[in-house]
Amino acid sequence: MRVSIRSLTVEFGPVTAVNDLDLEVGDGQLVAIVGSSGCGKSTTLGFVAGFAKATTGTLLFDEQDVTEVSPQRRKIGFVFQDYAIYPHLSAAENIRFPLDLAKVPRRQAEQQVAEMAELLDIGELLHRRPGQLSGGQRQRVALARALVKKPVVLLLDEPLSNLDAHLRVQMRAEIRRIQLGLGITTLFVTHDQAEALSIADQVAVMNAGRIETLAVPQEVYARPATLFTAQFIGSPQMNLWASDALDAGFVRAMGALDVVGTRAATVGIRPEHLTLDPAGIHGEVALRETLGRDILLHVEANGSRFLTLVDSQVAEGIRQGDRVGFVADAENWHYFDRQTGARLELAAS
Amino acid sequence: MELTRRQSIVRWTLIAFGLFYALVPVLWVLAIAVRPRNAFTFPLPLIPTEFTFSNLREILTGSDGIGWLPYVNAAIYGLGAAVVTGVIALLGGYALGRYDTRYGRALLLVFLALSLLPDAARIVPLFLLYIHTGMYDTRIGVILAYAAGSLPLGIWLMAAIIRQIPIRLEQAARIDGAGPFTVARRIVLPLARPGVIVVGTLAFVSGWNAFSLPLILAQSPNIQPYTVVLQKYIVAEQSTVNWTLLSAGSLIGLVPVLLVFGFLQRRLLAQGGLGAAVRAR
Repeated sequence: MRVSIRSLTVEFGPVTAVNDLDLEVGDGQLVAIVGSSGCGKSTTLGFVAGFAKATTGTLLFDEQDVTEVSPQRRKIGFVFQDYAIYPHLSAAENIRFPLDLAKVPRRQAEQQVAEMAELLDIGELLHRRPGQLSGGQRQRVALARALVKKPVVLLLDEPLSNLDAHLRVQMRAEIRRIQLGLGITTLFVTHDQAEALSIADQVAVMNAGRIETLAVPQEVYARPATLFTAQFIGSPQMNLWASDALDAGFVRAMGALDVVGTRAATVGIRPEHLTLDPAGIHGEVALRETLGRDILLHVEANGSRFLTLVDSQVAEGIRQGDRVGFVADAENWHYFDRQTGARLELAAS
Repeated sequence: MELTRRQSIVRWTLIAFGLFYALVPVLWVLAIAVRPRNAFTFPLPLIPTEFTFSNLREILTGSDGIGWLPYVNAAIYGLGAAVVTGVIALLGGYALGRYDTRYGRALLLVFLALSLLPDAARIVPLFLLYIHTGMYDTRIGVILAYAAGSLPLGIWLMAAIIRQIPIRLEQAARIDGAGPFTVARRIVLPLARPGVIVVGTLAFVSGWNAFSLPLILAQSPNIQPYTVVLQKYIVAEQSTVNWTLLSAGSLIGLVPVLLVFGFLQRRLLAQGGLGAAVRAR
């Protein structure tokens, strides 16, 4: 099932939550909508589910206009951040609930519940009440309930946010495995850019009610289409400076194009693309953060602060206050128009 | 949480004081009700020397008694008020708890103020209203008068309980294929049940114990509740009070209230909700 959102605008009184948004999700694809809180991503999902009333906008499932179809007739599965499993029903009754409503015969329903339980590995928990389940187990029950009626579209609203870090990584792989196995078209809303990159076929970066970027994860990371996307995707964040805030000679020495004076641009480079090299620009280590495999150095140079990510073996022996030199390859620099935020393709000449 | 020794002493002292305050009048009524009528002599011994059920029997079946009917009437008023209050408080509480509007909040404040209104303030307008609508001296009139008295607090409580049911659950049920009516029946109602039971019970107890409203609004002896009928032992001939029968009649009136609270306590603890929070400590 292909899902198309056409020119969606949602207004809550004077606030525009979603502003003329278009989004296409191909059949069997998983698109992650990522953005900070209040960017309109959950509202967009609510529109697809049928909760959020659009000011204008059309929703198509394949070629069929379902904008006016009520939530219970849309054949969608939805998993909420807080799971929303019914506290007065056991896990099995929760999962069977949609089947009961669809008047599926009892024996067939029981069998479908058992299949789902097996798919999600919750067979032994079926008789328990939600109060006796852990967060991760509740999440699995919620997912089973969303999938048991074989929906045409699966909508996931921050499904992993309430889980512990290690469980989150485990569950996202689990969700991807199930999604690929069932081949179900899926919209996945998250505020965690790493989660979006890891799970999605395509990532839609949202900001202020609009989609800034829609691209495959690698592209979103390697060639961010807008300044906002460049800031939002990647941790630690990309180093960014206004072009005229930097000294021209310094910029050239760093391997970047000299855009100073030629146009109002923002230049950026990811921390892992700054490599230590005594021949390069020198600065003082202001802070040294151990991230595990890598070490993040905050380096003061030329009146600015650079973040550089180096292998812990390379960074061994480097202390706060040391002077280090670093360089960057010309192809790793990013340039953005300061007015529009659009990516500038400036060929090295 | 573990209490220190001193906290524990203070706590038990307060509990003992509260129990004493609440229980002594009840035990006093009990002590008077079970002694023979001729044993009611001054000075009155606190502990009855003789023990008898004859007063209770006299109240229900004897020639000096009031019979079953006044208790049946009180039960009708209590149950009627409980049902009417439970249903309307659920509906009203849902509307006001779920849809957060400025007018809704104002209305809740009005309801809270109304729930503090004493019965006495309502008697005269109700009397006039009932006279003109033919509801005067009818059972349904008394039921509605009591339901109206219990409703403000009932709606207020239900609105608070509805607010604790996440709207996500209703949205989830919609997506699972439930229409509005099914959502109400299979999600909201089961989750609001402890609240409905509390509100209904409060309405039952106030209807069962009703005195001032039926005193004015129910003139016919056959529809008066025991609270009104028991007055005959106070205003009896020779302006003496028949303490033993009055106590026996009151004691019978106390039984359903105790049963209801026993039931309520068990139900709420089993239901979770408010009870689970209490039990968890």
